[in-house]
Amino acid sequence: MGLDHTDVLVIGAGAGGAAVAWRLATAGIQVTCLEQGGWVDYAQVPSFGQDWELARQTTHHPNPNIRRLPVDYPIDDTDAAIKPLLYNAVGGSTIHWGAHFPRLRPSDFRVRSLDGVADDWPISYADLAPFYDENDRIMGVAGLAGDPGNPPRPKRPMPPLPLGRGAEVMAGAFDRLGWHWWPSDVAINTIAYGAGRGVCNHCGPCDLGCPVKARSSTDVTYWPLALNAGARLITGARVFEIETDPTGRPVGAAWYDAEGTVQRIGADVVILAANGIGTPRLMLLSTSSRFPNGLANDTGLVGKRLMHHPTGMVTGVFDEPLDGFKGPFACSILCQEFYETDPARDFVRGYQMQLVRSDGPLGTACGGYLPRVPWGAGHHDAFLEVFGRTASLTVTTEDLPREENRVELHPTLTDSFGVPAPKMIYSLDRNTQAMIRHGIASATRAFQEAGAIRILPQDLVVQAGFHLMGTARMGDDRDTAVVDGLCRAHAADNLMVVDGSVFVTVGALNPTPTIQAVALRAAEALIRDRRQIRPGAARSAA
Amino acid sequence: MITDSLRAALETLLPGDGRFPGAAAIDLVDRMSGIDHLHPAVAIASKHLPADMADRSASERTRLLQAWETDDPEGFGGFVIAAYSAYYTHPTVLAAIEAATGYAARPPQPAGYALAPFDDAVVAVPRRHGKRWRDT
Repeated sequence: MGLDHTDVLVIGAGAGGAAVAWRLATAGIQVTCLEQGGWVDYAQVPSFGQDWELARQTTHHPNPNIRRLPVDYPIDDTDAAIKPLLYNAVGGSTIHWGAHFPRLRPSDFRVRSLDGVADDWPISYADLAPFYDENDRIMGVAGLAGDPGNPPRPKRPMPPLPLGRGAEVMAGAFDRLGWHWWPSDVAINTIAYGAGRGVCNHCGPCDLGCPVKARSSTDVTYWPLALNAGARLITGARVFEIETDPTGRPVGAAWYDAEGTVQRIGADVVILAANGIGTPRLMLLSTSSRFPNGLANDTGLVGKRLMHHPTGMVTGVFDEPLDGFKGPFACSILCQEFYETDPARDFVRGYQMQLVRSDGPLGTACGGYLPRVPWGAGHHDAFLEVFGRTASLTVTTEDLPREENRVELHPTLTDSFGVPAPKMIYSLDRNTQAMIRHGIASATRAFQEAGAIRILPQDLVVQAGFHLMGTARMGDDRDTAVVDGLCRAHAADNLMVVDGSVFVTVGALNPTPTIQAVALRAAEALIRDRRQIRPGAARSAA
Repeated sequence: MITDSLRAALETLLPGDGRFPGAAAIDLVDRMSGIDHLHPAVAIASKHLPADMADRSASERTRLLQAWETDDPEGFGGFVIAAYSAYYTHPTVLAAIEAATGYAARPPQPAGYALAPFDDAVVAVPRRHGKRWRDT
């Protein structure tokens, strides 16, 4: 079969798209994936050069509005309290992620039943557990089983990362306070694991792309397996419409190739995996007489309920070198002492505190983990006081869904091909603000216990829109959800969504393992029930 | 002349001392002009800075920058980030940091860094904690 038709079309080659493409291809289903970006050339990653930190601030910044690469699309974030961070490449945002790899907890799927807020998911932790396990195997996970803070899970494939001095100091403080902590599950090789991949050498800036291929990204994990199983991946494909038949049923997609020529491909099933901004953007772009407000948008919920993990940050300055620039920047230990709802607090739900290491010289000076080093006469003394002597705790909170937080199409802004750009509208509610305040107080207490000589809190990290979720939510009720529990659109069952858009609620933990487990579960269901893939059968059954 | 104004502003932001070079000593204006991503911030600064910035006293230059920071924190912040971005990736500055702290003036790869392996004994206390997650 040529390029004009495929059984399943996947749009987006990131965390969810790669997982679903691999699983379908291994089941003998013809899969084609369209990816806007290209393959990362690991011989060219900036961490080999003296200007590596400059690249972090410019060409490799996680915010596409700062990076401004030709492959990116702009995002209007003027009305957004948190700025968007995402990447367009084979591997998607796993190219620049920190690879912190926690699972959601069982309570995260039952927030309405347990705490009376938001909505329950139509699926449970138990439904996802075998897919979490399978995903761990493919991505490769380093960690330590036996955490009393989470449901039992199999022995991790690899031992935990080295803690480093900062984590050792903070672990001792947590112990003295009686607060629970545990070494983080991370998608980073601490021993040899996976074909063609190396072992972490603790260089630090995982976000620049890992040339050792120790830090997992789906271009080095799922994609080689998927391509070997027969999946087809087309890069430089800027999809601008999901095409439908007169009944509104998706029949394929139209995209611009790298030369700007319009291409088309037919498909029996279309799977969107373009992240919590890109997916609703594409659905809203794909209007028809059946769906005048965007594809499968009978509910008007496409693009709405945008959730992040609003993040506060507290940094402790110590009177000893901690050498936090050594080791993966985002990963070491995790404290979930304040994760579950406590009626004694002035907020519902909770937060995690994740220890992050420290930056190189430029990152230290510019701020991020700590406030920007002041300019002027005292600048160099202020720099030397903090450089290499800090550790930081994120206060990663659970955002609750609100329809006013949303992604919509911008009326005038477009990408370089003239495709309307998305606009984010986002603000924090009082519950989240209270949670951040509590978290900053907790993290401050931990640094006091640890003996920090200065403690520097930040209420809200603005450049922290790394988790984009909720904009095409899952649910059993077709009147209040865009997709069902198997990620199929209620309004078109051969349309699926397998990225963070489907999250009903988001917990307070990094979402990638859950995105991938949900994608694998959706793929399994599609394999089991192939009627959508045989158009004749599908149409007669409809 | 705007280049002189820019040079004076950068030297006010990042003056030299016995350990670190000042912005002028490493010709930070020239370095910034060679980095495309920094041009917008430089353009904003060029519009904002008075033409006679270089002729002002040190205290007056500081006051002018403080006033800009107060009036337009985002624009000024962009200029500071751009200045730091050029300064803290300059080989002379990195050598100064190495001399002051021992941090090696080399990129992270390919050498990486050595860290002691994880020691299971560190979880002795949390391992004894009771169950901390809710059943559903």
